[in-house]
Amino acid sequence: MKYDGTLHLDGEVTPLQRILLSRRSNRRYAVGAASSDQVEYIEECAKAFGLRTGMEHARLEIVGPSDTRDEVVRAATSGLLGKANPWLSFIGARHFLLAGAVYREGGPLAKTEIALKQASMVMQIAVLAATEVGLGTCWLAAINHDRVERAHPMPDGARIVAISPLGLLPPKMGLSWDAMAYHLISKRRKPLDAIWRKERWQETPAERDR
Amino acid sequence: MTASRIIEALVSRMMAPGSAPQRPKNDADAATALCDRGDVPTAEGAPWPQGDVSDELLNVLLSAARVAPSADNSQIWRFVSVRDRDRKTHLAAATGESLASTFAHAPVIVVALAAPFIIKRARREQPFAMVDVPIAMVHLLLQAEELRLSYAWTLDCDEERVKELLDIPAELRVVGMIAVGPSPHGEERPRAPDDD
Repeated sequence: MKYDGTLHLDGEVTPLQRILLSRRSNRRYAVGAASSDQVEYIEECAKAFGLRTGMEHARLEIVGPSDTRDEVVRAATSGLLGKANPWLSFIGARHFLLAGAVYREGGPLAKTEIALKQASMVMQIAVLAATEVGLGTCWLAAINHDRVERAHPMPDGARIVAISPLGLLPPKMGLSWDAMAYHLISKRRKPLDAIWRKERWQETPAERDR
Repeated sequence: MTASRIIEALVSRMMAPGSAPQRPKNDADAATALCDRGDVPTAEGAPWPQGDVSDELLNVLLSAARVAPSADNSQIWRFVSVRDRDRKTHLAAATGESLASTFAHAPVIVVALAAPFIIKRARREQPFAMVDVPIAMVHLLLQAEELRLSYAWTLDCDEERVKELLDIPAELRVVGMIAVGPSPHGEERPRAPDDD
């Protein structure tokens, strides 16, 4: 067993771990649309998770190839915040995931935060399901939320939390998953001892030095 | 399309936040739980299978959380694992009346936190604590499910009380808590969903 955060249990990599390690934030997509089977699977997973775990404040929508999809992209990239992701305007992904949270504007902060947490968890289930069926995604929360909501109003007045392209990976992304896992992902992640404390909070040596 | 439908299989077995492990609320849930997890041996008065959760297993759970995506790759998640009995009892009280007993008897409690992070190019704090840490929690919970561990979790707790109990600095946020127990089957090895 390694204690270095590489997920292995006695050298085995499980099906879930393969998905977790394969997921990347993709900014390049091949032109083309995900199949209806793929989209359906993603919707089923998100819905099943939401029902099973009672994520009553979360809403997930998948917008397919349409004028609405194009308007969502224009809306997301508009305004000062939307300029954070200019690449979004030029991608081939034909679907988008939209994560929404139902909460009362001006309501208690704790309830708003619960709604945000739920929406994020449901979205991540969708992202992992997309990874499982070989599609690319990229979480985007730095967007023009108000305009996206106007472009695609969410059910029950849910507020947009984040969106993600959902599309075909370009051929060069077909790197072996283990190459990505071991050589790309792990090096970009903090070591476990930087994120894990035992029994109570204590500063790590690196934090003390800072 | 994948034939194995791994994510679907895992989420269909997941425990809801606020529910005790293997302590179904009604007959329909009971049938499902027994079918899913088998008859669970529990210690007297405790809703957990007997046994412990090794640091080795915690390592696997937190490693799953560690590879989650985050804004600007800021990786603001932090975790505190608690095994001390007294500390667990006090922590459990911060989860509310309905979950207190479950958490108090758990072999280990993992508290999920968000650390502040300044995005240099934007010169502002990363504002997505309530997004990024729940994403990491999803990874952890899915991993627990794949390992067939027992667990209970909540996104709602008395944040100030938890901070005080664990000496957590004021600038960190408490996002959720996950209580983890051993597999009811006494196994610690991952199983693919279609191994059933």
